[in-house]
Amino acid sequence: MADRAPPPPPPPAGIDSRSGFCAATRIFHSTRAPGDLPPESLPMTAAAYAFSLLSSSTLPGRPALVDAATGIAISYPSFLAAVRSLAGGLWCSLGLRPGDVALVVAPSRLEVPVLDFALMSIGAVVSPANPVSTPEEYAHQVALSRPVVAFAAPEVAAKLPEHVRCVVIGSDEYGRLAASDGRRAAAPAAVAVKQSDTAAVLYSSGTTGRVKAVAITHRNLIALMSLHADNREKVAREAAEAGEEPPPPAVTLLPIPLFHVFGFMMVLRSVSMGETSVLMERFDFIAALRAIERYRVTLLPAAPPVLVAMVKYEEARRRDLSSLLVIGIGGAPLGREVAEQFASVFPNVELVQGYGLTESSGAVAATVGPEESKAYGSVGKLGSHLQAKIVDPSTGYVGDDEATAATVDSEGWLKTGDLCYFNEDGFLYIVDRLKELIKYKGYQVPPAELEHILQSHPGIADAAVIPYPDEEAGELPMAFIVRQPGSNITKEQVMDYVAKQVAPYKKVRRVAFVTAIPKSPAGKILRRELVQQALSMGASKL
Amino acid sequence: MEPSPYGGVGGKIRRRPASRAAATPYERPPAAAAAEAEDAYPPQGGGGGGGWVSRLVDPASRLIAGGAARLFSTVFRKRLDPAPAPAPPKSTPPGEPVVPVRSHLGRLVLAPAVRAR
Repeated sequence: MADRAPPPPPPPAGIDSRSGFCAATRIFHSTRAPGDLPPESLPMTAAAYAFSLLSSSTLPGRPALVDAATGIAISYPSFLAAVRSLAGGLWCSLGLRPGDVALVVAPSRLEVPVLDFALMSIGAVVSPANPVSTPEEYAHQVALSRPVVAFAAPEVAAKLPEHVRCVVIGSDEYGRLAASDGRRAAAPAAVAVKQSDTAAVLYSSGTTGRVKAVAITHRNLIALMSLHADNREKVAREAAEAGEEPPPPAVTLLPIPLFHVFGFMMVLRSVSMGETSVLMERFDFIAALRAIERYRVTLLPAAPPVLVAMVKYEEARRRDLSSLLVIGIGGAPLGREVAEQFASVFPNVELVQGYGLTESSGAVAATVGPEESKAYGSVGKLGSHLQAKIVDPSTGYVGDDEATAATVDSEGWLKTGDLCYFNEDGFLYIVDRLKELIKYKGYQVPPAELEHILQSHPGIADAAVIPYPDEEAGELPMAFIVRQPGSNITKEQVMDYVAKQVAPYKKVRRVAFVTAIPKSPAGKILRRELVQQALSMGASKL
Repeated sequence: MEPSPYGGVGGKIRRRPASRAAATPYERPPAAAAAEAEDAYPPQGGGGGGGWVSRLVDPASRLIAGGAARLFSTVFRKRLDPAPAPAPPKSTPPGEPVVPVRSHLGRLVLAPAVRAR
């Protein structure tokens, strides 16, 4: 079952070798070979680790970063030099020290990865925040993380609390910090930063309520970079055994913003592996297609709705997307119908599914290699750095938002807010977020399941399902539908289409047609906005 | 010893349904859906045996479905297991624990892996 070289040690007695399940403890262990990590006692920042992986060979000739809109590129030598210069400026001119928190509020521009790396390299804590937040939200975030300084894009600076020192990115002051100045001493090479120190503070749960701050350690990030390096070696080894060329270094398009854990992690991964990241300031589907064509993008992280759009938009078929090798899917479960439709239109693109949380610094599970990617609907196998349990979700569930939020218990177990199961082969399936299950007459209906069915209809361009309050049933599944251009599908046809494919209690009971489904920058459906929309619709009918 | 996926049916069916590979999280037999009304999270060991075959038959015929899956197993030439194709499929050795599958639906809880030194 496992890799042939080197074979991982046989699992301890009592652990099923296929799924990793231990019946005695009811824990699922990873079936992946453990990653090769630096000793925990070695002082090291995530940035230093990334650079150490990078310099295990000569610097790549390809760009480290590209701005999708302008085509401006930063080479690896320039990137490293810029990080070093800025780190010196942060240390000497700004006086930042290990543990100091720096808020970073900017769209995905080329300056941001340089800034993130520079901050981490001196042991300062990067705290990326959404540039379209409100002043009240920033005040809340600042109260949580207590930054000593904020680096903000010009259009955002006025929204930040006045008591926080602000350096505007692109300003003269920022330029002086970033300038390489022979007279200024560089930051000490060996800043005393432990791997267990905080590397980043990210803000989580933007789609389900008030944000909370999540601390991520250098060790978390180091483990993830190591995991990706291991995965690349595994894929290259399998290709060699099959007599094929290993995949080329990835050119990754990043439609996910850098303040999101996945965007933040993807840049770290890309730099550590000597690959190229193409940054987009904000996601625009047509612009993404243009960027794939222009920069010969090979890897696209995306939420399932992007796949639906790629299948249904004529524009996607007119573009030359032949460079695309892999789409990394996260943010929502991928339905089989959508995956199969996609495979029929784009047979050469591998769909790699993954699942991560801000709280676990990203990757929890992933499919690695073509065979594992065929487990449609699964987010893959558990990463080597984790173990998992499936527990009864009903305890403290009803009416208790705290219980459904991700929290860490006294034994160090992170309780996710996701309803899941593992199959016999150790593949993890996410059924839905606990918070978003529709409670219909005591049943629990996962909206994602209904959305998959709706999205498989050729007359539907996009769909979302929400709980609609009902006195008798509790909640009814209500569908919001974006019609495909030219489609005349009716409410009755929508309801009939779903009714034929699900148990009666899961049927869609209400339908509304809209022009777009509101989504977070990461591509997740913003159900709360739709619930409010539905309630105001209902009110207008009375 | 966990009960068989075809609980109540006599005899031992060792081979897992080939349709396992095609299963998605949302395909479950009507019996499981009905059971969900009484108890959203049935005890471990119950349920299971899901897959596309189950959508075509009622619960009373699941033994037939199990048998039918065996006839179709040759269709599923690709296996999820990354092991090379010529390798014979490994069955779970006797004594190894039976893994609860979709009946064990619940909240995911995570912790860092304990690494042997």
